[in-house]
Amino acid sequence: MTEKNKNIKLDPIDQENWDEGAKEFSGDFDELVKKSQEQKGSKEKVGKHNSKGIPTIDYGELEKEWKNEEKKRDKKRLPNKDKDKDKDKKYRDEYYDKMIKYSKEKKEKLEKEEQLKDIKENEKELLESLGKEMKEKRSLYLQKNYEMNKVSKKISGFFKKNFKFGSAESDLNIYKEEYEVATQKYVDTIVEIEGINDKEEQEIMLRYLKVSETLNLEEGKLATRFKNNHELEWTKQFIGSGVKRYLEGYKKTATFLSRKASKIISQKIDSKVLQMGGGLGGGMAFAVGLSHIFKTAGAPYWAIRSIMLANSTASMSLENKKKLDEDFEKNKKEEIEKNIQEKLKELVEKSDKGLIESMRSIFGEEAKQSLNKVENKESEIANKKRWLNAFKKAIGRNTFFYVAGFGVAEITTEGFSKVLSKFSSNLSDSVNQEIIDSKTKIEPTIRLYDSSDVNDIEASEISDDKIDGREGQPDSMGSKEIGETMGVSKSFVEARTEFEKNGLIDADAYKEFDSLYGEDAYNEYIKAHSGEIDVEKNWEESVKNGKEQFMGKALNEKVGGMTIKSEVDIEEEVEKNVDSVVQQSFSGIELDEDGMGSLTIKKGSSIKDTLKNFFMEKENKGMLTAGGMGWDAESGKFASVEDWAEKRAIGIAGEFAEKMGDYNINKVSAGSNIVINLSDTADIRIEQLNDPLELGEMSAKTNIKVEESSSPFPFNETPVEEVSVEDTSNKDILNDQKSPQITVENVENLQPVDGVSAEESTGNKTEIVSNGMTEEQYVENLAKIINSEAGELKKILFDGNINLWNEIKNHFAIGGQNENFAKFYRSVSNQLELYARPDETVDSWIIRMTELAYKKGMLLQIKNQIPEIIK
Amino acid sequence: MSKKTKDKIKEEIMKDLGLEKLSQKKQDDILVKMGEVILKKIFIETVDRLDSKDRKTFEKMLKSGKKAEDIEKFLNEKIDDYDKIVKDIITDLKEEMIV
Repeated sequence: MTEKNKNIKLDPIDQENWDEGAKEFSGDFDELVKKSQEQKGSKEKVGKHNSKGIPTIDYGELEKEWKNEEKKRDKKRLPNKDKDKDKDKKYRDEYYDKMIKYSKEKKEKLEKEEQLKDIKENEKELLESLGKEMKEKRSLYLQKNYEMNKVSKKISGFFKKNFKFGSAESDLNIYKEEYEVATQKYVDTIVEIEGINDKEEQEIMLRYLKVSETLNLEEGKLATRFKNNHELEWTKQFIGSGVKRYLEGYKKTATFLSRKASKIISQKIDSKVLQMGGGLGGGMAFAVGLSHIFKTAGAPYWAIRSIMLANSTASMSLENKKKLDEDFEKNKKEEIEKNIQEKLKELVEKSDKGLIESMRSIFGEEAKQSLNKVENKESEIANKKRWLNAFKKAIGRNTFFYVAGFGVAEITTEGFSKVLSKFSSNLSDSVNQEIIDSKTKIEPTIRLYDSSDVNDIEASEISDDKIDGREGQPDSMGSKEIGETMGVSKSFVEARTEFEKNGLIDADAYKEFDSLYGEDAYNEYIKAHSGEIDVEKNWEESVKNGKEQFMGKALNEKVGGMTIKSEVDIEEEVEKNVDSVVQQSFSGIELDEDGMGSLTIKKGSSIKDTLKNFFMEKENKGMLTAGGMGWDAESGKFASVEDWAEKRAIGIAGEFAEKMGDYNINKVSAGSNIVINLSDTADIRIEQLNDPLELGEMSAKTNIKVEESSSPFPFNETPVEEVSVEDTSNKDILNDQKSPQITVENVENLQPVDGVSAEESTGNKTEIVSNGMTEEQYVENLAKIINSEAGELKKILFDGNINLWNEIKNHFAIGGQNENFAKFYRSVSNQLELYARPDETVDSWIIRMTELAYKKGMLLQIKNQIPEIIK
Repeated sequence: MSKKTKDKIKEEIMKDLGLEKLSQKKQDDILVKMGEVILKKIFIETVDRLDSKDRKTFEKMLKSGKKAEDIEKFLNEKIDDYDKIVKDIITDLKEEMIV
């Protein structure tokens, strides 16, 4: 009992009551309280204990009950007021003691809570204060740092060297130091408040705070830059957006690190203390108010990649490896691409070498001839041979690629592909040989798809069927024709045709000729001389010589019933016979001893018209029956004399035009004359044009554009029914077009694929190279060049491919009717013309297309080789 | 980059920073914050080095939502040693955090 309680005086009754009450109260105070609570049905008031095991009591309620109890007792003890005094007193004292006791505990508790509250308030204030101070110091330092950098940057940039800025730098250092001190103080306080005593834990905590503050500092630097540089204002939206995207992206890729964190450290660092002063989290300012897209995928990757790049040795290595891998892949691709290009170039160069060499020579010769007006028959022939050779190679290659299934199908229409396939399947022996040669040459550098391709077939095994891709299919031409053509030489076929036309096929001389130069002889010769150079060429020469010899013999047999004479005699006799024929007087012309005569071109007339008129003169036709284009009234080849004369004149004029190169023979002045050679009436030729004004020359110089033939295909107006395997005289037919001319200027614009100029190859000053020319332009010019040799082209395509001729004729000209065939060819020609450009003939178009097909085929070949190249 | 590789790299970063014993959440917080700061720094540094004309172009590229690769290509073309600048920013930040 306290002193204060002891001094309280109570009357006896009260004392008694109090004593009774106290007895009861002290007997089971807790029970009383409990009972009281239970009576009220409030279990919340009891059953709860503080940390010391004392029930947590709501004294307000207790006092209320106590007062109620007091009232009851007061009523009860009134009669024995004095008696109860002592009891009451005792009771009251005990009560107060207990009350005081509980109050004290309560007070202590409250005091402690208050104290803790004060401490926390103080700590918070302290940390906030320290944090605020740190931020201020940081801002001051950053502002100073920014200004300093800005100035130093400008000055250093101006003077191109670094300067020291004395006091300004000192000031900056002071600001920095103050900031560092403030930061350290702040961090230390956190550690102290957290009560971290373990050194490792402290270290981690400090590291964490250090890193966090570094990031805040960097963030602050950026904020300072923004604050001082309004030009950067627009970037905020992008940065904010970028950061947002980055954060979103990061969440998706959030990791679970393998190292498990210390529980205690985690708790400490996650504690609320760290949140008081700042710590992390301040960096999201930019992310507020985002609107624009910084690029969804880009930013996170960009940032993460950046982080990964430099933050650790390991990551550096990994990232470097990644970058190296990327570079490697990139370089590899570039290398592959480069290889492909090189291989392509190499292949094209290799494959084109022969063609280009030949073409280059031709271009050079063309230019040379055009410039110097050289009328050298030998060089002209050589030139033609070179051209022929080149073209055969081109055809051979194109056919090869056609056979291989590349390219052509895409660029050929049904009509054209038919014609083209005929080209490939009906090439003459020599051309076929070129195909094989081409194949053999290309083979090392080109691989085709599979074992069934022609490349896997030995050159010697390639037959026509295989070449034209129709292996196993019925040959519309019939194998006999192929066999005949393949088994004998071209010269022999031509010779046989001549014997037939002259009605000498049944002569003994022909039989002898046949045995010496026919199929068997040819095969034996080839077999015996296999491997030798120019075997074919030598044989052809032999056949030609033999033909002349045996033709004379045959004539002797037929004409004059001559008996055996010496070869010299025979030749002399033949010459006499021929001369006698030649020297028969033609109407409208006087011939010299060589069978040459001159025809004057009248006003309004042309070379062709002059010739035509000459042929139609009186009985001239009767003396011009020799050859495929000879007059033949009975065969029905020609509709009329005029028809015959017209066609023959066109052919001869066309041949002459071809010979004249870029000279425009269609431009002649009145009074000019042509010298014609009638020594061989089967092969009439114009030898010379004498135009005092040389109109054709002027025309050539001013006309750069290639002139078009008015009739691209001579066959449109040519009776061909009689043209057969034996017919070699149809060259007149083939020449009956105005060959497109190529001018000097046009030649100058040409450019060989490998960029070698004509000057380099021929010494001629004419440049045929122009830089920057596209492949298409080159091909186009190539076509023009080839077109300039149109007459020769036709010989190769048609005259040289009699089988093709027959095939077309037999297939389309039902019953061998001329008109049907002519119609067919007209239709084909028209059809093909639809595909040609306005500025090109059908012929040049065909050439261009085959060239493109070839090149396309090459590209496809390359593509198929890529895996090999990579390996 | 696979998740495993990323995790490995992040782990290495935390090790370098001496924070490998932090909770995963805290480590991620740090990494996120780092990425954010680096992103901003690179962006600002980049813009700062462009002349006004190129800035406009850059802005247009961003607004039109050009691919990150295209943007990087542009920046590589317009800014000398762009890759080095990026690398330096990251290296500097790393040093600041470790010291």
